Amino acid sequence: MNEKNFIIDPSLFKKLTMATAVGLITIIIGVFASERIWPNILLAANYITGIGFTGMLFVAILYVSNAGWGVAIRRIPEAMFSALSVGFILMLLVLLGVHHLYEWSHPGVMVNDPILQGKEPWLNLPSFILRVPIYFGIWFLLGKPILNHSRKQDESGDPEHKQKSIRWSAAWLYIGGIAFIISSFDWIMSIEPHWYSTIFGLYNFSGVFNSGLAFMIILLIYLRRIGYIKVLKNDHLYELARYLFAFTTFWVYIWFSQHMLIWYANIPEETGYYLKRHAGAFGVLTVINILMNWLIPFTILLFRKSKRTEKPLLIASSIVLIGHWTDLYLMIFPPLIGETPIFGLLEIGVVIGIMGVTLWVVLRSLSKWNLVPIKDPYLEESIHLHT
Amino acid sequence: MEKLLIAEFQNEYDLVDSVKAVRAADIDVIDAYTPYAVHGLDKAMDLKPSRLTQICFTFAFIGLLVGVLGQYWVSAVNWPINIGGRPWNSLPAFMPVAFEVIILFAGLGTVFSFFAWRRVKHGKPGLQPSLRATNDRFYIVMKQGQHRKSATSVTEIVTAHHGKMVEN
Repeated sequence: MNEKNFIIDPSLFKKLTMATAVGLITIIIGVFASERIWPNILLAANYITGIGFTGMLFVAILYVSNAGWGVAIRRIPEAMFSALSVGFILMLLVLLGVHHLYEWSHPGVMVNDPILQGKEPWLNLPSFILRVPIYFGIWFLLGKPILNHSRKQDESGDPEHKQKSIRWSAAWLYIGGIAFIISSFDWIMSIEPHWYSTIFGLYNFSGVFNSGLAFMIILLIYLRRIGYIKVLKNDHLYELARYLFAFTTFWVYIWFSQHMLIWYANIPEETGYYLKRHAGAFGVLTVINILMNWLIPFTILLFRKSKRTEKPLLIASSIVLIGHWTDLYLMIFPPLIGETPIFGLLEIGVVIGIMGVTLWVVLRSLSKWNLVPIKDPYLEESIHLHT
Repeated sequence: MEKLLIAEFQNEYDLVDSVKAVRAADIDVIDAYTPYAVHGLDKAMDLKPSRLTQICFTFAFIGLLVGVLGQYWVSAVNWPINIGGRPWNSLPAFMPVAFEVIILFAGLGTVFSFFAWRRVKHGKPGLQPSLRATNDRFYIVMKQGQHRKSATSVTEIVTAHHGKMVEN
């Protein structure tokens, strides 16, 4: 193995720091200037948490399924896991603006509303605040041993580390997955506390997994272009692209399941959610959302050749990344900002900040360890992947 | 009919390497028989991707049209029934059925196209060099190329890859 370790290029580092600073300044100005900053911070928190969540999810799936093909690229999702810490900080920031986001957090509203009274045991401020560190604690504490075993194996080469990782991964998938579903109920669905959908957590998950895969594909292609991770073959990208292809379809399947059941049952307290999102300019955005999260990437990735070629893969992945932002925007913003979608300086600043800080954290974490798990027993199998 | 050459191997790696070596020596590989799908063999044999996927897509598209238009005809043209005050032509309600029809058309269409294409019918005898090709042995069937330049004999290449020639 002659993989060199990853070193962040100083000029890139400078750009990422500047982007992060732009996001930070936007947030600071926004907190004092506009209420619209709070949904933006919530969106950023969910987006970045999603990237980190997918990182460990992907690693855990590799372990649990005893897959050999992904070992050579495993350090990239492992590095993505570090984005979770940024998500945590942003989520703590959201807690400061709870009253701007969640109707149920106002005691006055709560008292006069019998439906919200019934939800009070779950939707109250102390338990909401307490649950944020619990979710992140589950993801961190169950995920950290998996990272540690992977890194220790680089030194000792002991296959026992892999066996232990498999057990931790199973626990992470089960408990971490449930935590993710409940966290989406908490953070996003409770913005409209009268509305509920049992599939909502799964719906959020499908979008999150898409965005994480797209991020991983873009990062891998970028690393190969600047001369790192030479073990990466088009076959690895092909496997990831198939994942992305399948999960874009999964996303629209879940989106449609939620939409059709609510349309079919036609109960007023449920249809309100879609009436807001299908009227006027938000309706246009809903159509764009489906195009970007499903139809365009699906059509591009339908062909075997485009799953194995850098350019179409980059295009499809970028569209999915933007699409996931739109998806979260449509989940969070409509009840909070009135009838027309706004994409102003605040949104642009926060988006730049998201990109900057995510890449900054992930690349920094990537530079700390070997770029390839050099002593993993399945490494050879992964390098000789045929598809 | 020209005499075919058959070589037998113990494992898939020898088979793939041998296919590459044999082709490099201007010998045509007609087909390979293996108990399971071998990764990388299609590349080594330089096979073109199957066009069955395009047939599958065509059938799926026909299925989509049949599913949507059929339901439209049934519930909006021929016998409109008011269900919960919804419009007769309600696309969301058509989707699940259309989806199933797509799968039905794509699945059956692809299988029967394959049968027709390869002329598979009930009772057709299996074509393989040996029954062990379905169990634990790997075979390639070759033909002397028309414009052969290389001097190495087939037997030499095959034995170099731990295989042996089979009489037929």
